[in-house]
Amino acid sequence: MRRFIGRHGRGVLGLIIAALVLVAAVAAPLLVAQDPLQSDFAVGLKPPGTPGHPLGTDQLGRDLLARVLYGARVAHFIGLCCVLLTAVVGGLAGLLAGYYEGWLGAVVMRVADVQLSFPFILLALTINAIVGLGLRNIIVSLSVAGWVVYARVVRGEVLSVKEREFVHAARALGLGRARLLLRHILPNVAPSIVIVGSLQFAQFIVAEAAISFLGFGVQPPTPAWGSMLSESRDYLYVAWWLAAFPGAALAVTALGINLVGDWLRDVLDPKFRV
Amino acid sequence: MTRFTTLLTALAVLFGLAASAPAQDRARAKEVVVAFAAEPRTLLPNTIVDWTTNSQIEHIYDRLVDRDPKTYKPMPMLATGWKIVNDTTWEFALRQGVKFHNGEPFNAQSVKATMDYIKDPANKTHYLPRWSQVKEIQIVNDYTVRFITEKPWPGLLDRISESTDFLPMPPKALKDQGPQALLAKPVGTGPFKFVQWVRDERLVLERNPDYWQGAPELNRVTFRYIPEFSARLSALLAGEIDIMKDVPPHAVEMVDRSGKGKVRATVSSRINYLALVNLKPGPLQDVRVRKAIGHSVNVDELIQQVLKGRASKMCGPLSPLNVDYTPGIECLKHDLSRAQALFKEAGVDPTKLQLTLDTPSGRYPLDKDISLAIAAQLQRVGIKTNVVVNEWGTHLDKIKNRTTGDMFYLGWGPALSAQNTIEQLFQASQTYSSYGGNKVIDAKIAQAVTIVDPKKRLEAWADLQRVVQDEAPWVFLWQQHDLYGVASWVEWNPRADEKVWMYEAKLAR
Repeated sequence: MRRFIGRHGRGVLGLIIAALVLVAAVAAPLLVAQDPLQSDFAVGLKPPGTPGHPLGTDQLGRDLLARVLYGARVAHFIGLCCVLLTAVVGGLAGLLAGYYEGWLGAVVMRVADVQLSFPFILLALTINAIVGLGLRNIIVSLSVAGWVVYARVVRGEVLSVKEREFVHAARALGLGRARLLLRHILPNVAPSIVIVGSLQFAQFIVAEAAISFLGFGVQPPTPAWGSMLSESRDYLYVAWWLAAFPGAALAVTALGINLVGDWLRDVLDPKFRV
Repeated sequence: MTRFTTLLTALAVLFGLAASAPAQDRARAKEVVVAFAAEPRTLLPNTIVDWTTNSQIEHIYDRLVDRDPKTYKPMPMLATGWKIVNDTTWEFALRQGVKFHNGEPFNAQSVKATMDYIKDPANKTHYLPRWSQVKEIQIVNDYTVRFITEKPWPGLLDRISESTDFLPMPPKALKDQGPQALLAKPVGTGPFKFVQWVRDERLVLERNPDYWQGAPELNRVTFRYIPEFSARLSALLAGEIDIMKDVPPHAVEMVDRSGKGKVRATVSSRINYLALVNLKPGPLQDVRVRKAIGHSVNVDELIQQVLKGRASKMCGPLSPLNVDYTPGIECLKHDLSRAQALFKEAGVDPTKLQLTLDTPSGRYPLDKDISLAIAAQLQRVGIKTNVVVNEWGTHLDKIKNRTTGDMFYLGWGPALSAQNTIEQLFQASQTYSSYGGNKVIDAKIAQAVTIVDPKKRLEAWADLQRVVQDEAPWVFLWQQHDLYGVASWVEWNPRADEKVWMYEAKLAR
């Protein structure tokens, strides 16, 4: 048991944090009675510990605990959607590019190379400026900016897997290409997809916060950690809690998920490097 | 206050102490640092309509006619007097013995050259349409000029003194070297001379010892650019700057207690309003729906709770500071049952209404917070309001291109005359209007601007204020209060017309 904890301590810690945050996000309506949008100007900017408002209130008298918890929902929803979208699109692109090394693979990989030469957040911001504001559009822009990582990783895996003997054997038995790709190659690259996904998940959440912080992305009054942090700047001198709690929530969430990601990488594939 | 806040303040003060040496040096050298949100978009006067730009230019160039800092009535500056000669002719007597910074004398040629500059389409100035009424400038003698207008224009004096609409330029330099030379090295008659403009960083001016009103007390004025007001506030508390605009209401007490400076407040002539756009299809075409929204917004609550009392409520389109203001217009009361009745009458179910509200962020005192608070108030009658926060340039473009949502938040000022507000904002043909297409209002405005008799003119504008108010084109909000943070060693008080003029700044005794 001690050995297990020793080897997997960080993973367990990460799992606990991630699970707690996830539960908080999913069960937000059960955990707090207040509506995160319900404002009562008369009780604005109350410090933590105020009766009925354990984390205090913001400038419009909205309950900060409710906003932080519902913010977790928004963050996880965006993170999850982006990971699923990029995993499907990027994974498929990588699968095809790896299997068909000819012009198809070349085209996909050159597109990916061009995209990788731009910083991720800059690219996401640019796409966001084109498609517009809002929850749906932030998911779209993060996904468009983020699929290449999957494509690169999966293609690399496919290139080695497809030369393995069982693939040759399957092909010799006359299996169709679709079946070969999905039943024999995909399961062998799946661990990589999971690892990339878990690491990307945290990145998406942080990127979404950054973009919302800049005023793009999720629009008020929807509670999002990034825009809450941005709004808190105007009140930093009189209400520290407005910045502290959303900031801590973001940091803890990212930490938890990253610990899980690292642990998964060690367990599933010690050689793997993103 | 909590311990953390105390700690934060203590840190700020500590950093302030560390950095206070330069502030003392500045006091000794009589050099004031003013922080604005943005640098000037040009240093050419009479070119771009933008408060930030012209507030800086005004230190170098003088107005022809100023406003009295107390009564806001037109007051002689480079012009010493004026009279109406006939319906289409204004005559101005000019001050003698005034010199531009390059030694050129100020005279009638300067006034004419300035109007020629504005009228030349090649210069692309924003002021061209604002002076379209003026046909020509006649030089009577060296120190007397006449403005000849197309139609009777009694509002000319308000236009010339309202803002920075006419800042005389040096005629010889303008002719010989062209506007580009004046852009690179501005030459005016003002209290300060141009020294240096480092783009995106600072503009430095020095005292004009030969200023015609007497040399300013300050030796140097430096403008610095800090877009975020929280950063401006930190800079003030750290002693890096001496004057800043827009201290947030909730931070006033903290600045006053900091020992670094004091907040100087003034009721501004700038008005803030929520436009209910009728220039695009939607439920707000119906005056009953607009009025119902007006009844749903609780203006007093916004002033008390969000702005901490730092605003003066308005009931109609003009504030009491406006020379054409008429008293006695009744406010649309906060009355939810009246609102429901009006919604019913108009056949609109407020719980099915989805509206969009465009707001800037950081341009006016707590603009975004107000917009969010209004959305929350509308939520109480069931209206779902989607708040879109825009970057300032985008916000203006949306208004100009009529691509805002159903409502938008805006400030307007300095608003000292009716023509500059009612003519500009309630006709579909105007750049920044949100409301228009009302033939009665259009006709009344066209008539009002040409009435020469002061009493009849006032009556015409009073009538228009009532008609406009009854149309509920806006949710009428308030005059904003301008809160300036001023370092302890500087004695300076803000003005309602938003002129930030360091000639009036002195060393604190």
